[in-house]
This record gives sequence, structure tokens and C-alpha cells, in this order.
Amino acid sequence: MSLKYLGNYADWIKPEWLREVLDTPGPQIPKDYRVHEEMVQKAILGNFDEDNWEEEHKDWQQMSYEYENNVFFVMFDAPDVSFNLLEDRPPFLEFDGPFAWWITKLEPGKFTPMHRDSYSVTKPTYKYWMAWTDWEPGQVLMTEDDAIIKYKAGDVYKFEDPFILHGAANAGQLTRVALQITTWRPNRGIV
Amino acid sequence: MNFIGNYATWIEQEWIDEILSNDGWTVPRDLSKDPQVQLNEDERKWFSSGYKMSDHFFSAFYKDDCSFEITPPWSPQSWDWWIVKMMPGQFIPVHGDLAMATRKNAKSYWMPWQDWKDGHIFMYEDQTVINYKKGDVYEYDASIKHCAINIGSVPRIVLQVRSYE
Repeated sequence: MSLKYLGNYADWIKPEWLREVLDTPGPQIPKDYRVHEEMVQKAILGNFDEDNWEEEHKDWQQMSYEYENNVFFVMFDAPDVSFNLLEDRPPFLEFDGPFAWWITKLEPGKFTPMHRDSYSVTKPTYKYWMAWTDWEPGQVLMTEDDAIIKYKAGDVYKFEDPFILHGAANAGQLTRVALQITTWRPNRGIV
Repeated sequence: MNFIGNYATWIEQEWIDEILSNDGWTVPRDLSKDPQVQLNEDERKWFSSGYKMSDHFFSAFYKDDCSFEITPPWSPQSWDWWIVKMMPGQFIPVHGDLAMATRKNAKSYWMPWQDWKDGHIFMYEDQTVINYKKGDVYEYDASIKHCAINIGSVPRIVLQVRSYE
């Protein structure tokens, strides 16, 4: 299976982080994607990589979804919230170097279409998924060979193949929040 | 979920083509057009969780919407059927078909009309159904909470059959 369970690290999640994510509307993807991406890149990198954006934009547009003005999910990067996980390094990371992180919030009926992260990798890449809310029926994290349910807040899964097809959905009745961490995200300066 | 068998050879390609090329009922939006439709308690909860009656969860095709007849080959005695077409990004939220709990010897069957595709999933209680084959038939208790999701890139078509005594 492409997802490996690493353990539960619920104690590391500060309640105020989750509360802030739940209480903040946040950028809606893909509707706000362009504006949000430019803001985040300028905040983190000092400039906006227009060419890279166009490439990523093409990937999304090639999905068989209505793209313009649609809302799949809400995404929080470091500049969107008052906390920064670089200052509270997650205890489950298996490396010492830098990492990129973002949080996805899926309200009932929202989803992340199946997709692959960038293929362009030249060194070992780590990718993790951590639930910040308990699983409830209707919520799922999927890869091309696995479907993760019945997780608890704090459960961490490692992507054995960080570039595998994956997605998530919430057909339940409560909001689902999850943290993503990767060591390959050029548009956040992590390569 | 009890696996009953595979009946792929019974499925006609023209049935699939007809479903793919027609609209059917837009659920839940079109439910308001039928005064006989009564949402159960689980379904009413959808709308207090942020789902909207104007949403398009999936398309439903009933007997009157199809040019073909369905006689399930695993021979349930008396039965109703409908077909669910779920386009990419569509889903049916968690619910139980509560009326099933009051029927005598009611049985529910679930049959995909295509091989499993990435992003397609049926979730039943605390089980997930993926990696299935076209024509696989599963019996399940539809009064128990279940849902289905398509976050893939191709439409998902499933036949639902309910048999009663």
C-alpha cells in the first residue's frame, strides 16, 4: 500500500491552531488560487514565479472538472495563519532539513480531485499527511491503491510514493482538516 | 457487504451509452418536483450541514427514464431499481435508506457498470469498496449509513436494486 501509518501525534497539535483554521474562511481553491499563490510566493520567496504558475494552472485545467470560480476546498499556507509550523517542527519528520507545509479544510461536500504532485524530483522526497480532526463517515483520503478511513486526529501517514495519484473527499456532515508536509515544493522554495 | 457474484456479461453496452448520453434526474435539485418524495431524517441532516437542495449530487435514472428493461440476473423476488450516474466531483452524502429497515426481508444490491477507476469509492459503515470489477454484485444493508464519491476523472455508473418479500 502507498500510505504507511507512522503513529499518532495528537499531543503536538495545538488546539488554537485547529480553532483558527476552523474559524477562518481561508482561500478557496481553485477560485482564489491565482491570487492566493501570488500572495504566498511573494511572502515566502519575495517574488511570484509566473511561468511555474502557468504550468501548474494547466495541470488543474486538464482535470475533467469545472475549474473557473469553482470551490473544491480551502487551503491555508503559512502567510494565511498566525502560527508557523517551521517554529514548531512536527515530531514525526524523518529528516532534518527544510519542509513545506499547508493545511486543507474540506467542509461537507468538498473534495480534492485525484492528482499527482510534481514529477520533477532529483533527490529523496518525503511527503506526510496528518489528520487534525477525527474521521467521521463520508470522509476519505484516497490513493490509486488505498483508501484511508477511521483515522483519529493526530494520525500521521507517510506517502511511500510521494508522487502517487491521490485525493480526498468529505461526503460527511462535519468539517475535515488535515496537514500536508513535503520536501518537494518548488513554489515554496523547497527543492 | 456480501459479494454475490459477477454478472458483467449481462450488462449491455448500449445501456451504458444511454446513461452516459442522458441527464436523468438531478438529485437533490429535482426532488422538489415530485411531491411524493419525502426526505428521511438522515437526508434532512444534509441541509443543516451545508449541502443545498439546489446541489447536483448525482443523476438518477428510474425505470421510466430508460428505454431498456432491467431484470437482475441474480433473481431477487420483487424489486425496484435505479441507476446512479456520478460525474467527476459528484457524490452522495452519508445517509441510510431508513425505509429499508421497515420492509420485510428487504435486500439491497449494488452493481458497478464499469471496472473501478481511480477516485471512485463506495463507503458502507466503516468499510470502503474499491478495486471492484464491472458486473460485481454486492448485497448490503442500505439502512446502515453509506455514501459514494467520484473524485476521479471519468463518470461512475452503478445499478441499485432493492428486493422485498
